[in-house]
Amino acid sequence: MSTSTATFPDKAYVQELFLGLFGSGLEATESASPVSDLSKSIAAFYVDDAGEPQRALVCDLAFSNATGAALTMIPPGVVKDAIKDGEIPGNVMANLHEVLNICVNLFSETSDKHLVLGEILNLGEVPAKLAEITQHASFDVKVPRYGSGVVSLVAF
Amino acid sequence: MKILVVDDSKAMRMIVIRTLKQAGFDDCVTLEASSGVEALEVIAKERPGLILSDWNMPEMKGIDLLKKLRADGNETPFGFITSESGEDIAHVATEAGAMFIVTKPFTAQKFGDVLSPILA
Repeated sequence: MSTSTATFPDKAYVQELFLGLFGSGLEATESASPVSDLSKSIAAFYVDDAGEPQRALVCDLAFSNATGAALTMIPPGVVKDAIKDGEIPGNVMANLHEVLNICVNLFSETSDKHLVLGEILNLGEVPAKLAEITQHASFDVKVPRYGSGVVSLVAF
Repeated sequence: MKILVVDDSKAMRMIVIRTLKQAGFDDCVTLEASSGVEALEVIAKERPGLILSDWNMPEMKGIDLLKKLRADGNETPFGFITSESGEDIAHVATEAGAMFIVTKPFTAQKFGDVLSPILA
């Protein structure tokens, strides 16, 4: 793993990528705080050609449900119920995998390595030690009709 | 024309087909395959006029599907729709015979720009 100082995409770049996925009306704003409750988050690791994790996305429950559902227009009510129950339905999770796959391009201009999506940790699997990582950029992403959630971009 | 969409993600196949319609290609017949192996079966049976394939898939990657087709003498127009990006990827794809790469996420406008010359 690298210990050098990482750079992250800015708000405009993040918003542009998610606009491409979810259409007009989406807004991304910088969040001072990273995803806080790791026990209710999803983490996707992006690995280099040697299989070493270089970057990660940590998605809170709201972001995970909103983006997963919005990808194929699953009814917004499903998202509300899932967040209330602390869950991510199977079909939403399957879509979220594709969102996370595409999100490798969040790092394409700020990482000098070729990255691909590696392991995805589900709810309850994200280690608390991720909270100790200081190199991150976090964004509050508002998906029209589906609500807002926080995603943290993390470097190792 | 028949267009074959190859992606292991059902959601992404649905989005590609939806975007094709949004881009004005709604008179095309779309076919689906969830892997390179399944794609070979569909190609042999349905003989599509265009193949749109993901790059990273289990069993057989998109680039291996393309190489297999070309090795078998199949010259069906082939393009990648993938989260992969970079000049090295584009070089490998072009060398193997791909006509284009569209990086995810994509727009109907992008589909129109890339596919109009092929589907005209």
